[in-house]
Amino acid sequence: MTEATIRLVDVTKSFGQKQILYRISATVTRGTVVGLLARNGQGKTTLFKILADLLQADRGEISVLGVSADGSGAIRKKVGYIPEHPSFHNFMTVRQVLQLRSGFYRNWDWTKVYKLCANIDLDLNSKMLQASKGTLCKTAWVCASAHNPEILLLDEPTSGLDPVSRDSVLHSLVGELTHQDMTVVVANHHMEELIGILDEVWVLSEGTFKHRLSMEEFRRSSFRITGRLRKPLQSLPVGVYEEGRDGDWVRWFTFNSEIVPVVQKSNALERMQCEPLPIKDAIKSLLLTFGAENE
Amino acid sequence: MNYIDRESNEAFDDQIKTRLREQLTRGVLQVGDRVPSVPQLAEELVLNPKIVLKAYKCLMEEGFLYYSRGVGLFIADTAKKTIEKDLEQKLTSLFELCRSNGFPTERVLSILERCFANGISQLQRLPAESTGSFSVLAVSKQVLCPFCRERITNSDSQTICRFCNTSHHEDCWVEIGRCAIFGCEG
Repeated sequence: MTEATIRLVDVTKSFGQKQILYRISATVTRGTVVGLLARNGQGKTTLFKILADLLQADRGEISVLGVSADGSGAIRKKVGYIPEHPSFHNFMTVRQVLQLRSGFYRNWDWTKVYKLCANIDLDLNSKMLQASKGTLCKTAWVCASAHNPEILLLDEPTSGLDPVSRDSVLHSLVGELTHQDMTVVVANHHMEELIGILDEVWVLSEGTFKHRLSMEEFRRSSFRITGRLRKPLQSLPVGVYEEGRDGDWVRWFTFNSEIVPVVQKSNALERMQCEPLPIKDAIKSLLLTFGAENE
Repeated sequence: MNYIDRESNEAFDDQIKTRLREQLTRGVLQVGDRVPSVPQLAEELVLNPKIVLKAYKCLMEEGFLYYSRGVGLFIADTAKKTIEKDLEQKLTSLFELCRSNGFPTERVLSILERCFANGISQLQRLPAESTGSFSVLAVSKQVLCPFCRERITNSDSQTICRFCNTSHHEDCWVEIGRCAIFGCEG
């Protein structure tokens, strides 16, 4: 059960002079749901394309379900991929798109397609030309899961969806999770809607993974510390980050619950208070801390 | 059940457990009722099935749920007992918290007594069967009616003063039309 379904060793990718990914090594074990957290332009989409074997890495080894990326499309048969900007042939209807796609996959499951379409309220006869963003997203979701893949690569699966359709897509995603040991890598700027689903959160920044933590741990050990500085500090305590300050009053946060008593003991703060950090703030803080040190 | 607080720091599986227990206590669910399957509940709450499974497994170990192979998950006969156990634990830890903060035991007891008295007076207005577990207490305390000075037994119908929580025989109360305690406004 703990075998690695996705394995990356030393993956490097640059576009011209600009280095996007630098020596990334990571493994995803079977049945894990990984949330990829990064700010814009930090290489999320590039990583997804490399995983789906749509882009060739400059260097490094990529293996997905034991198949290494060679540009042959063997990987794409085994994974379900939602691109950041789904696009389909303009002259087709949703049904025709699905029919075209079905030819590429041996396991294409039409009963599942019809069920999914009904669940997420997707009209099979709507035309791709001038299709709304919601229709595109929903079609992409059906395409990604119709062949019962073992891995889902979801690059912003819910962007552009209204709350109702978003919920229906998320419901069917959870439905996928229950059917088998599905491995999922998902990126989303509204990570809070996925909080109950994720097992792990990975922070990607400057081309490498800066931080990797389990969701449950993250939720339970994020704290906000407020208080008044007794005297100016040379540097913040290890593992503590500043969120804001107002004169002597500081707002700190930490992702490690063991740090709270350390700060308390160090007596740096007067009238110190500690409260759990709401998850939305925690994600933002995580991004601020690890996501953009070049800013 | 269809609500999980994502902002809260309480673990999701703990939230599921608490909700199910609450629903049994409130009577929404009853012993022998079937609870949603793991996929159903996961989908409903948009939660990772692993979390739901964890909560259910824990509830099964406690004896709150039992699994009937191929049929589903049901609320076990022992469920009420596990709730009591859980409450006992919570009360104990609350008391520990009081003690570690230097909150005097006498005040804890007086608060408990007051809550209890209020609880009894409220329960008395409910139909007789729901007061069953509390009637024992009334007898053990040897409650005397302040008007006729005779014991109020379990079988007597009684009225409790809203202000001073004193029990009267219902007939006595009707006879004087007010609380028999001197100075009480009831």
